[in-house]
Amino acid sequence: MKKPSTAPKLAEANLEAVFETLDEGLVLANFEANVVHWNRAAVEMHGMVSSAEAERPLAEFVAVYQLEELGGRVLPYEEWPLPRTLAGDCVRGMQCRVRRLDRDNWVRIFVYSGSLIKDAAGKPTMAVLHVSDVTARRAAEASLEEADERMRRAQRVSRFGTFEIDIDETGKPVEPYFCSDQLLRIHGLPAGGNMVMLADMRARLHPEDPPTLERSRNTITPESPEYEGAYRLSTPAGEVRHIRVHAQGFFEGRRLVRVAGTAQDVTTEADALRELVELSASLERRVGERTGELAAVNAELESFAYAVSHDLRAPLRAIAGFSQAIVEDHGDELSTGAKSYLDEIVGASRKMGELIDALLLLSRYTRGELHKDTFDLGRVAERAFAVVVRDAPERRVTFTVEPGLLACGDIRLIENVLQNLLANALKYSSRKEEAIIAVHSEESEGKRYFCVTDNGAGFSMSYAAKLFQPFQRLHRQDEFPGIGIGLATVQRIVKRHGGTFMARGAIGQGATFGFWLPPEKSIRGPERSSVTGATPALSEN
Amino acid sequence: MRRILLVEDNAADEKLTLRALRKVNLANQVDVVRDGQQALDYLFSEGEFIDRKEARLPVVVLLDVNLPRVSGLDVLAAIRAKELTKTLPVVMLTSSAEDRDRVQSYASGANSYVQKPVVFEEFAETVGRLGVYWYLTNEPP
Repeated sequence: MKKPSTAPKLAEANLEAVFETLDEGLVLANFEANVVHWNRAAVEMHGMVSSAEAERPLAEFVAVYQLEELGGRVLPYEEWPLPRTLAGDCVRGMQCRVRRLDRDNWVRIFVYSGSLIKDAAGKPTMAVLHVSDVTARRAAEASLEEADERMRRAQRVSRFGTFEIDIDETGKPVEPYFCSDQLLRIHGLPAGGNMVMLADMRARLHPEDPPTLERSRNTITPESPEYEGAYRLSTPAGEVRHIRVHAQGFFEGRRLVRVAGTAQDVTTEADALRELVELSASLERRVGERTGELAAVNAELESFAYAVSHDLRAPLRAIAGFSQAIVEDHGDELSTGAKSYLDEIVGASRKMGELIDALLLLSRYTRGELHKDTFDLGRVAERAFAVVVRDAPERRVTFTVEPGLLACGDIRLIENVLQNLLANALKYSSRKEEAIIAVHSEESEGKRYFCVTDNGAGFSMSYAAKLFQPFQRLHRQDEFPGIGIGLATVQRIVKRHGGTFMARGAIGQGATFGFWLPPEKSIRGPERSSVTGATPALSEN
Repeated sequence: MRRILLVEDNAADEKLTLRALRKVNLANQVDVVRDGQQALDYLFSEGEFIDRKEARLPVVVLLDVNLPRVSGLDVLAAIRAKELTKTLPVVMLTSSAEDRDRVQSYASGANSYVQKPVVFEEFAETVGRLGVYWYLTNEPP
């Protein structure tokens, strides 16, 4: 090894050997800033192969190395550790990231400390630089920091905070104790000061909620060390936050030495749950109210119908009865004109009686229970036809029924539907020499309708909607007498079954009235039903 | 002479009923009371009818359903509850075509239920037929 002329007394072999075998790097430099000596460790650390490669003027290394602060700033040559030491600066624990410019991805982190070596007179003669490689340690620290940061991020995302409280021999909590940033944030305290006092953490605790530590200590035992609880916090803004906490006790023997756990802000869930509970309660209340109202309306309707039935008929009976009594008892004293007026009174009373009966019938068919059965609609139609044709024995009628029509409904009500439809068919075909009336089925919009078709006077589709209004008629009394309640009744009965109704006709070309009843087991409420089929206008009913 | 008891609060209906019964020559046999309480007093010889003690029961009661004070159905129930009148023929008269009146009347033990028709001929005929039937043809038990 070459001995520099200005070298201090390093010539002793032992010292030299120590110098070479050290694992820490040492570099010696004289005041000409020539590197005079690198030990083996320093050579290896800097990625060089031999001392010969290393021993040249320091300034030449600018072409090979780049030194940066850990923050990233590139250091100019004057700020490199050796030049600084030679300039008299105190260099202690200077951390640098060192890159080799002639190699890809050669990066190290070194810690440098430098000092001056002085002669007997106290004059500095050279600088010695101590180098240690902390790359691995820094990497480990960095990954630890990253893990820590990841943990903090995870806590924030999951809204979980953590805490650990040691308990001393006297059973007192040791303060300050550890709280994670997230738990501090939950409690409205600044993050970062992870050692906190219980009093600070409890500053915003809801006055009715006992602190978790006290509560959990009362319940946990070595056998059952877990505690699940909840508490509320009041924010300065006046909001209430709901916190769910899970704690675990750690024991030495039977003595509790630590309580640790997690806490989570569940305000959103608690609010959602409360809203759900409130909503469901209010729904139930509203359903109850509506049901009550409906029951009241129904009862009112019933008593109204009853009153109509009794109270409207009594005066009518008197009007008709006494008019008749005048005719019978005092007929001789009356002129023909007076008698005919009395006949009008009797006729009008009779008519009003019929109207009252029809109104009652209509109201009765919209009340009461439905008793559903599956039955042969054709047979019911034949029976209904026999009833209605009794009033017109002189008529020539061809009546046909399609075989095998099965229906599901209240047979008593459906019989009334058929009586109404068949009576209409008979009435409106009365101008024909021979009436042709058919009961049959037909498909419309995927539904099988039971239909009654006649060859009578028909009606204009533009007035179809009027057909179903009580007391609305499309014909004058002198054309076809009637009171206009039949189809309204029919439609109500069909609606009560959850079915739909159709009407089709043209003036002078007969009419078809049909109804569809939902099959058993898929019966829907009447509110879903509507009148469809050939007369879209009717769906407004 | 056995009587017919008509329980009717409506004056017009009463007159028309009496007129119909007169036509079949039964008007003289009819006693009329105006509400349910009176009807019970009449039958059990109480209150204003205390002097009717020992008098015979009517051959038939024509009982309106809608009555002030004690309703027709309550009168019927009281009649059926007493040993004395348990088998007394009672015909319910009503304006109502309501099923529930009919069902309740028969359930309470009415012998017959007649809806008062609006049209007079029918009414007269119905009442006349009732009177004659119960008065002349029905043997009291």
